[in-house]
Amino acid sequence: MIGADALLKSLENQGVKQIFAYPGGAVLPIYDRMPTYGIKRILTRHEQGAAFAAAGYSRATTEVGVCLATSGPGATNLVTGIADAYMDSVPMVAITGNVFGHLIGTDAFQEIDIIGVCEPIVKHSYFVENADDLPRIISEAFHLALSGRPGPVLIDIPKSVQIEEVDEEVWKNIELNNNFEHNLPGYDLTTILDLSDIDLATDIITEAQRPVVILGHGVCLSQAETALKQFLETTQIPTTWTLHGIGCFPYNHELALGMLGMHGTATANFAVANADCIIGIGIRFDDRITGIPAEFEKRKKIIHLDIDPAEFGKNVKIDAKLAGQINETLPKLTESLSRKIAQNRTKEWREKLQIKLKKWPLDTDKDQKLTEIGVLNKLYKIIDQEAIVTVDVGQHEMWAAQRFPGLAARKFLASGGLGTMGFSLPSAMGAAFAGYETWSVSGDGGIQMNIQEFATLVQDNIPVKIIILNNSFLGMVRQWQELFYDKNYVDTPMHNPDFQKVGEAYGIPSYKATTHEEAEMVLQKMKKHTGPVLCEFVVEKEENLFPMVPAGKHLSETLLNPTDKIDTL
Amino acid sequence: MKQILSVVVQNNAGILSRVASLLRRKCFNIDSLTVGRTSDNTISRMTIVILGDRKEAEKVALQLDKLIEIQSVEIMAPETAITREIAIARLGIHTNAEEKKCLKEVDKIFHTEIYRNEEEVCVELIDTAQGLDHFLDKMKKSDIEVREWIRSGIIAIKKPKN
Ligand SMILES: Cc1ncc(C[n+]2csc(CCOP(=O)(O)OP(=O)(O)O)c2C)c(N)n1
Repeated sequence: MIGADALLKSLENQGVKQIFAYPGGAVLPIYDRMPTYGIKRILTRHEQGAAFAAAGYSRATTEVGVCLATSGPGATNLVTGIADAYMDSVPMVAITGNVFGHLIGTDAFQEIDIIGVCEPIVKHSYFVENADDLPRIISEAFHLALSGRPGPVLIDIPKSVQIEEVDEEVWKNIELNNNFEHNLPGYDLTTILDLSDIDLATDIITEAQRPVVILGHGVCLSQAETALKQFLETTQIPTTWTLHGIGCFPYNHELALGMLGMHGTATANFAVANADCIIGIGIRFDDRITGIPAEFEKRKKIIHLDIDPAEFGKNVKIDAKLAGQINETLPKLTESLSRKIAQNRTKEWREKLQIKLKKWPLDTDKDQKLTEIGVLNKLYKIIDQEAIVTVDVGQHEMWAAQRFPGLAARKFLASGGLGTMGFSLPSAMGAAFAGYETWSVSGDGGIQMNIQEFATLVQDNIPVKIIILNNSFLGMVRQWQELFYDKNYVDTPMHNPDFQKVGEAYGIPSYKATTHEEAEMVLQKMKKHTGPVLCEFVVEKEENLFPMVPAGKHLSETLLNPTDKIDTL
Repeated sequence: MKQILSVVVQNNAGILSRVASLLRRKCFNIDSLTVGRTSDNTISRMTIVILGDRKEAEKVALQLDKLIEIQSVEIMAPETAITREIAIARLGIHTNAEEKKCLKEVDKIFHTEIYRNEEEVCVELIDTAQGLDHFLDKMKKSDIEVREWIRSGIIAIKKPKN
């Protein structure tokens, strides 16, 4: 048995069911052995597609997605997907081949120091020197990817290690799925839990007049939805969420304010701008929600719950911190508060926000012509309760985020941190393996960044329903050019192919819709279809996305439309 | 202000690069970084000196702690640490009587000569960073021709408790 066997059997032992991969010279020994093992191969058409698919699978399941690529260009093609997983704390294992050990460091054909390239964008990485180390490394990699604050782990394996004979004893242990002792003395999750500020946090919350809770990805990742519900029932604090917090809390609850941030709801932005106490749960106070950090932290106390102690005080000054898994720390805070808090203390604040919610509803679709908002509203009406929706980056992403708050946790998948166009289609491809109805929503720009994956969908009959919202523009950039650069539309008008024909050429049943009636009809057809299916929706070209916080402005400057701002307190 | 961090790392290839990359990308200002083996051959100890206040040091510590191969990070308060740094200087020897006298002085005070030929003498000094500052300053101000000097960066160990 050789290194390739050790790798594949160890992956099997980790419960890996499929691997998103693309072959090449430096991974041939692995490919040669793959058919012997029970892991399904999904041959993507670009390594970026493989990385996003693996991450899509992880995001939808909270299991570890796996991708594999050859050395050099194969490895560098993974980079964007790895970076995306890093920014969004997605557990993923990326495996690359590298040139023969004796050639490492010689600038050999297709040799790249992928460990070096990926240093800033992985939770950890391994350069494998001996085949016998593989089972321990795989076991460590999965543990690291999934535990604590999740993230991507890269394993780079020279071809010589892939073909090296594995020690008999080691192989026996792999076959028996015995534990391989980890060598991670620096990785101790038991030391993270820190509740020393709990009394302080309790006092701050009890005294607050205008508190607001901000939920984030951490709630989804630690599956703390129930703990959260109890916290909110006890405290009755109005609640908003980040892009990745969608689905953690019922959107139709009377405490729900909608999404926060640059394109958050007017009420959520108003609430946070005027709050005297923020409770950030599993968030990292990223600039898309804080606007200007120095303004954000003014006149308010901030309490932060997170698993990653390095997040405390990183972006904004905080007054109290609780470190640990949200589903561990939050119940403790709830308990501490339940003895003290008076629910009616914030009644006035809640009522005020209720009035704002009524005053500032999201834009509805009043247009005769087909708009993106129109298509998304129709889609939202027909999707399964359990459906997964992946989005690309741009206007459509934010319109969907505003309008799809009713999805369950881990069902709205977006490239939040890195903001990567080309994310939607391949991540849907991976997410579809979670077994739910899966919709991929893209703009005409983003879909072309990974359009080659149409072939993968057909080859493996992966049931992704592809929605292309064609506004003939790089819409989000065009909007900025309209608002801040005097409509100087440089390189945002798109000359596009006929997407319906492209879909058909790949063998995907494809439609085109240009009116409300057609859109409704086609969406029904797509819903019923069992394999991959596509529709290009030809929509209004210059629709604008609001609310909007102009770059570099504070949340209190949220624009409801090009001219009107939200109220002051 | 200088802050000293004492970092225990797993003795793995690539760890120095991970630490350096982290310090760079988070824009921390490093004054010196030394790394070497310890009494335990599975670990190395890095002593990192950064420019900044205590808060900055805490941020560095939290970020470093995220690296998987780092076992512990300790911010060392000056009063609890023994710190040392080594400096080596190449000094020119001239026939100038004044200078000869100075060199003799240096030699007498510090007992530091480690190499000598017709033209040059090399001296070393092991001291705290401040001690070295003082020494080098003194030489610069004297008639000695300092041709080159180098410093090692600080290593630090916790003071044994009384
Ligand atoms: C890989 C990548 N390149 C560039 C950008 C910058 N960018 C952000 S949104 C956007 C326009 C997206 O246009 P489209 O996909 O048509 O979606 P729309 O905004 O029209 O909904 C661009 C170019 C990006 N986010 N990602």
